[in-house]
Formats: sequence, structure tokens, C-alpha cells
Amino acid sequence: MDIGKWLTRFKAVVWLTWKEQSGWTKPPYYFGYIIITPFFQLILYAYMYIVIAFYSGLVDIEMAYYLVTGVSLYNFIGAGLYGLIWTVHSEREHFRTLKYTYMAFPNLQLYLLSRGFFHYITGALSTLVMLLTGLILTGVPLGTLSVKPMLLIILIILGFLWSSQLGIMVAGSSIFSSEYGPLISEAVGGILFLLGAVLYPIESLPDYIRPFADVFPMREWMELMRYALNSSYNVGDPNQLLFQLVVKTIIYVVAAIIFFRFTENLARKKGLLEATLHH
Amino acid sequence: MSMSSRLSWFINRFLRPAFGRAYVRIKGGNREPSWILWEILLPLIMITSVIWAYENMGAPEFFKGFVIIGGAMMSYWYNVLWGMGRTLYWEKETGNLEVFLLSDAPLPSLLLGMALGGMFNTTLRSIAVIILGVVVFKAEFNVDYLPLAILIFILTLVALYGVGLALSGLHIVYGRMGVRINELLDEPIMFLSGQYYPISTFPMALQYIAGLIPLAIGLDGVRRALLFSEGIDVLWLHLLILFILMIVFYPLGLRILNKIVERGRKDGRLILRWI
Repeated sequence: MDIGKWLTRFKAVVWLTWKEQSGWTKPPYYFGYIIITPFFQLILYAYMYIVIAFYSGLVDIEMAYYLVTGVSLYNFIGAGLYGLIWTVHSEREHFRTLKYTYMAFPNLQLYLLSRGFFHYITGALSTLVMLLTGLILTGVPLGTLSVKPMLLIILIILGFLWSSQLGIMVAGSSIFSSEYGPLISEAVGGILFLLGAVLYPIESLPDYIRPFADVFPMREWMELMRYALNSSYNVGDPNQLLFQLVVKTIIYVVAAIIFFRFTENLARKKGLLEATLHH
Repeated sequence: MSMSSRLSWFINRFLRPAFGRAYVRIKGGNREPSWILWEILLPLIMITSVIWAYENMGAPEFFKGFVIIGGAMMSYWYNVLWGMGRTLYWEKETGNLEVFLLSDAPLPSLLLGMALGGMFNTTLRSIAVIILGVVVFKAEFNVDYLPLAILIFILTLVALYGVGLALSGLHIVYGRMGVRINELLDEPIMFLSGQYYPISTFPMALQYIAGLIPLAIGLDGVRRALLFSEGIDVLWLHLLILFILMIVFYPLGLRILNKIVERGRKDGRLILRWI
């Protein structure tokens, strides 16, 4: 495929998403909107730590760092993933535009990826705000953090890759059901929150649940992100974790390409790209 | 209008459409059993995450009960926001709102129907969430104080659905902006209502703000009754505040809805789609 042509389309779809998402208001208000919700989500969970500190009288900076980074970084993954998956439902069921966009951009996987990219950008912005305010709110001294910029950039790219491919697979499944599409996307987001080392380490999970956590690259990504933001955070062997993350990301990318190609073809044969169930 | 014709109007033109709308919501919400399962499992995932987080932090045992009651009662707020407010937006998008407005049934009656149907569906799921929470996490509640908890809960719901009336008006006129306003109200209300912790740990100024939110007062009252065995001698202030909020919010919500609909009629935005 012609890369230049694809990039032109990619840019156009990101621009379309920006217009569609922010068209109801002026840009400054829109930026306020994308920050307010995650901000309150952060203080909702950060306050759990504050309450426990209040009850026990003990301050555990490491716990605060874990919680704040977990919730903030989850926002990046969650915003992108949810935005990408929701595209199928909103375009087919709500606005009934999927068939037209499919004709203009006849590669649904790349189209969804382009749509999702916008949500990853807004997710990254709000994550940055959440991280800074959360760390200040819970009393983590920002001066003690030592950021590894190169690793951080690599991890952001890897995070985008594995989670967007997970989103592609979920979106591929949601083509076949208008009722379950949104539920599946919420369930995947919820499972990542439950098993992805967001609020607590995987080691604290019951033994029978841990193997399910290993299916997702979330734990490796989360732990390495914490390490990249603060190199004194203990992750054991970071190279080993990075290797595991890269391997899982490759598996997700390959699986998503194969799975989505299959679902897209099947959906075309069944005429599901233009079918609406008024749901 | 005589008393008997007023009563007849109320029964035939207000209550009947309300029950008709509630029937549609109950039937529609429960026609597919797997949806019910999903709607129970999804909140449970979040509740489980928070309980495990508290366990990891070494929180006292009663926090499990806090989280389970918080998760179950917060469903009503989602129902007000999304089931009541946003539904009118989608009714407009699909062309049903025109039919509603042209019919003889007053809009508040249809909204009452949505509220009743939504309450029924949410109650089914919330009870299941509480039962599963008790079975799985061994949370303990003092059922001797259940009648008081139910009274607090009912007052909370009536006040809360008064807020829903006003919100549904926003959705009719403001369309997509109304949806965004909903999203903006989601997390702040969860935080201010103390979904996962007691609001008594808030700074005083924040406690005053939370006191204006029926869910915050109701949640606190239900938790105190069921988890700390506090009786009416302690919780009378909760009942009083909820009663005041109920008599303020319901007429206020109705007034706001009427004003917004009136303005929508003048501006021609009531049936304007894709805005």
C-alpha cells in the first residue's frame, strides 16, 4: 500500500474525529471537558489512599505512587481503547455513517486505528494532568522522580500498539452485535482495570486469577511505565519485562490482523456493515 | 375543573401513560436475560477492583460493605443520568420524541414512567450486586436497620429523580452538548457522593457541597444504618435533609423542564436532530 496515500487518509480521519468529538463546543471548553472527567476519576481513587492514611495515620508514599500512576496510566489505555471500539457502534447504530466512511476509506482496520489515534492523544493529555495533580495531591515529592525519556517514548508507542490491536479485535467482534458491542468494550476496559496492575500488584490477586492477568500485556506495560517515570521503582529485571511486553505486543498485532481480516470479510458477506438494529 | 375530573385526568392522562412507559422500559430492559447478567457483572468488576485495592492497603473490613453499597446505589445515579436524561436525546434522534410531544400524555408523566421502569430494573440488578458482594466478599450488614435504610433510600430516589427531570430537559434542547454535560457529571458526583469512602472524611467545605447531592446524603445514611447500626435518633438529620431536597428538587426539576421545553418550542429545537 502507498504509505503517502495512507498517511493522507490517516490525517483526514484524525481531523474528522477531532471535528466530530469537539464540534459541540469551542476548543478551550473541549479541552476542559477532556480533563475534568479523568481528573475526578483520579481523585476518586486517590482519595481511597487518603482515607486509609486518615484511618491508619500512616503515610505510604510508595502506595500513593502506585495508585496515582496506575489510575492515570490506565486512562491513556482506556481512553484510546474505548474510543476505538465505540466507533463501530456509534457510526453504525447512532449516526449510520459507517457504510459511507467504509466506501471512502475501504480498510476498516486502518480506519478504526486512525479514529482511535485521536482518543489516544486526548487520553495522553489528560493522563499528564492526572499524573501531575495526583502526585501532588497524595504528597509524592516530584523532585525525587527520575524519568527515563527514551524508555517512556518506547513504552508509549508499545502501549498504543498493543491496546489499539486489542481494541481492533474487540471492535471486530462487536460488528456482529449491536446490543453487546458497548457491553463488550466496557467489559474489556473493566477486566484490564481489574487484572492490569492498576490499583494493586498482580501478586496480591488470588492464585486462580493470576494466569488470566498474564494474557494481557497490561501488567508489564504498567510496571515498566512506573519504572520509566521513576527509576527507583522496583520492577525486578526491566529488560526481562520489556522483552515480555514486546513479545506480547507482536502477538497482539499479528492476532488482530488475522482476526479482523476474518471478521471484516464475514461482516461484508452478511451485510453487517450497513445493518442497523436501532439500538 | 371539578375534583372528580381532576382525578380522572390524573389517572387517565398522567398515571396511565407513566405506567405504559414504565412497562416498555421494564419489558425492554429484561427481555434478554444475558443483558441482566452483563449489567450485574460489569459493576461487580469495578467493585471487586476497589475491594482488592482496599485489602492491599490494609483497610478495615467494613470498607467492603462501603464499596458494595456505594456500587449498588451509584447505579441509580447512572440510571438518572443515562436512562432518563439521555433517553430523551435518543428518542429525539430516532423520531419518537415528536410522537411523545404530539400525544396527549404530558412529558413529566412519560419521564415518571421512565424513572419507575428504570428504578425497577436498577433495583433488580442492585439487589443481585449486593447479594453477590455479600456471598463473595463476606461483607456484613445489620439487617435490623433495614427498614430505616429503605426509608432513607426511597427519599434519596425521589430527590434524585427530581434532578433527572431537569437533566432530561437539557438533553432535549442541547443534544450532544447534553450528553457531554452528563459525562461531566458522572465522576464528580461519584467522588462527592463518597462512592468508595465516608464523606465525613472530606474537608468541611466539601461536606457542605456534598450535602446538596441527594445521593451523598442517602449513601451516607444507608451505610450508617446497615454498617454502623445507627438508628433514627442519629440519622434524623439525614432524613430531614433528604426530605428538604426532595421537596425542593422535584418542583424545581419540573419547572426547569417546562422552561426548557417551552424555550425549545420557540427556538424550534425540540425535533432538531444531529446537533
